[in-house]
Amino acid sequence: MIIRMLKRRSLIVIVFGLIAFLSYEWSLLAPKADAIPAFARKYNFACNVCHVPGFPKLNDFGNLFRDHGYQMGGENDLPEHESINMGYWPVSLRTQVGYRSLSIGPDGKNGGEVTNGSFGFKTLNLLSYGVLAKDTSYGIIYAPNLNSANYGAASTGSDLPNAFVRLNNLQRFLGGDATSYLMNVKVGKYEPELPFSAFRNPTQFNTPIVFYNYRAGNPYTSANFPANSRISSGYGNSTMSSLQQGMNGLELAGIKPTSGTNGYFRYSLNAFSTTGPFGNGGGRNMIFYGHATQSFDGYGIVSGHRIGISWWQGDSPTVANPLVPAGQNNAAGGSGGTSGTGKTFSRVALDASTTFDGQWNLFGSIIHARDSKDLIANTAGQGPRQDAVWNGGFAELDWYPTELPFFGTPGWLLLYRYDLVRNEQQGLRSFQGNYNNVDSHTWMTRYYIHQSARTDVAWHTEYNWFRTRATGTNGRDVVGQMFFTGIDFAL
Amino acid sequence: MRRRSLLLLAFVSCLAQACAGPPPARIVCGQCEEADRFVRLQARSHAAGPDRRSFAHPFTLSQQDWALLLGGLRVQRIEEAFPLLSSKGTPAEAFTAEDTAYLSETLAKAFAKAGPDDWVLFALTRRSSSEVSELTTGACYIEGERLHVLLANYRFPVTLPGVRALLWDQPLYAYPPFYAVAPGEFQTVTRRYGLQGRLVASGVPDITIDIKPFLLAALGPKPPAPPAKAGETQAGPSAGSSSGVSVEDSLALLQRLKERGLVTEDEYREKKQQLLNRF
Repeated sequence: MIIRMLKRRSLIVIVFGLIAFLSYEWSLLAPKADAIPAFARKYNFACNVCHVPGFPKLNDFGNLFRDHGYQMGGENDLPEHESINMGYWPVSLRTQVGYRSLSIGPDGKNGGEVTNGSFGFKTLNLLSYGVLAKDTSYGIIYAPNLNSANYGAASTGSDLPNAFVRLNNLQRFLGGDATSYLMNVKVGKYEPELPFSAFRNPTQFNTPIVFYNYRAGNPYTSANFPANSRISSGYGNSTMSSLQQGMNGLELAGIKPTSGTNGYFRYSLNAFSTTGPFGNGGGRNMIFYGHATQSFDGYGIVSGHRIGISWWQGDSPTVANPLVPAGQNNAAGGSGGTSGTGKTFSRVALDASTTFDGQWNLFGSIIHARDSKDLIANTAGQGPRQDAVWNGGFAELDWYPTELPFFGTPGWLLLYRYDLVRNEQQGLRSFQGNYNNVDSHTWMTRYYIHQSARTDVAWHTEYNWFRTRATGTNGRDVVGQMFFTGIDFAL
Repeated sequence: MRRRSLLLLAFVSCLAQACAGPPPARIVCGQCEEADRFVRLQARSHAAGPDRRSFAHPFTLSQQDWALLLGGLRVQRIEEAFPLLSSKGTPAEAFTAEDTAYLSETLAKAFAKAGPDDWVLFALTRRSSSEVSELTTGACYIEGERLHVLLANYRFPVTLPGVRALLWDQPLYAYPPFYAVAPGEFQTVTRRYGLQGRLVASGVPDITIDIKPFLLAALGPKPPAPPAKAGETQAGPSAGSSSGVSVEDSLALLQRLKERGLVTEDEYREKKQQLLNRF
């Protein structure tokens, strides 16, 4: 079965290779046929000024540009400056199209592998980031409701994953200057300063980092795999379901160059409402999140090294909210939303990143998580509740070679990531200790077919294999595979 | 079995070809190789050569001649508009006075030492901020009496060390252009493909300058040429005309052209008389 699948995939890879090659050559002959990402258009830059090859991962300069509120420090930062021409229309589009195949299933009795494969697209993001006025920046991402998204498997649901305004350079009101310290305040809906950005990870559309989306008791299958009858239902857990973007809150962030380390000290302190990605239908409870990093000899992504610590401490609501219309489900499985009687959960994570030769980036994070037993659903017949405790982590190696050996072509990003989660204590004693433990391996290549001041086009190929312990309806492990090859483009 | 051996042989030869990097570059002078700029010689590789005709190297042009030739190169910023439109900015001199001075001196030395199969590679760095460098890279060679300037990258913004390393190693690797060449009198622009000798290759603007008429035009003022029609590759008013060249310098230039055999005895006398009449 696997050999047959690999043969079919080899054929698809060859076909897409030819398409990518021809697309590249065509792009040289017809350079006027595409448009541009907003910042590249505004500053007349190529995409690799801010990104490592194959976008969307930011390089050191791109991170600093973001820290400074999408400003270069010149007068032409402002949208009304005379040098800003008609090309500066601060809207970009991004999507990923291609062929994706999935296979998942526990083996043995009542098992059997389920496979799926389809051409299509994942989703569509309309992005607008920029400067409203000097030291006032904003970001909006609109994801429209598309019935045929996710390769025809599901509609995406219309939403604003990001909608924020950021006030930059606030240290000037405290007597500081931007060269020694930078302080910003952001309000709205945005991706927190995670140990490493989920949204900027090139595998985000297909294989997000596991522990960012992991919840004890809910069988992990990664974002691509729809629920199916061969996977057990686990146990209910009202804890936040995602650490990723789309959290509603307020951030105080700062960055300070540290001459002793020839790097930067950065911090981000946040207060979030328990709305948004939690599915709780609105609530008064708060979540606090902080992340601090110190880099050495650079920013720590393309040059230098970086260490960091982050922590989450919050309450997830457990009771109904009468203000939320009846019928709206909450995470605890009830109806009518939840708002009060918050119960505690916490996360503590360490992260590190190191670089070599400007081409290698090894980074990762480990996390320790605890969810209060009061957040675990009290289901009859499933035994007494207790705090759910688990540990997780990932290590990722990115390689963006100056030139790919043998082929001599620049513009490649090659990636391998290993994710794991180990449960230390289940929320329900009746579940075996290794229930929902996860191992996940992801390989990915991205090649810049074309980049200009108008567009990014990357050929993306990705393979993921994961195993989730004992989550099959027959008690066996769930094993899933995902293969994708296609084109990721932004304009 | 034979088929397998042939496949293996083909694979090994492909691998060997792929592993074969560009020919080693030769440093011409101490000043020619600096931290943020260089001018060096490199033999054309088989894959990288635009054709197999020998160049007219070595070739002697004075520093002043190079300054005139380089001063005639003009570029226009490509201003992109969303989603499909683009326009070009006002033509401006491609090289700053500092760049022209550096290139004039080093190109004069390099072309004097270049062999018939060498081209002269160059790279310049301009700092646009503390983090962003703008790289200009390319190559020059002379065929017959025509100077070719392959302007692979012009002020290409770079932050990644890997991109800079690539362009330093392969100045003819062309990233997407942000500027277009505005050809002047006695200049034509075409695009050259296949210069990198790699899996994929992008086009490089090849600016061809007729040395003799260009320099002769630099000897004296000329009436303005009619404006170019859209789409013409040879266009524009004189880019290399001699608004700033003194009569004394013009006479010296004319003498050099004659000594090099680029102008005939009759042309020399006629042009000299025109210059003297300017007194």
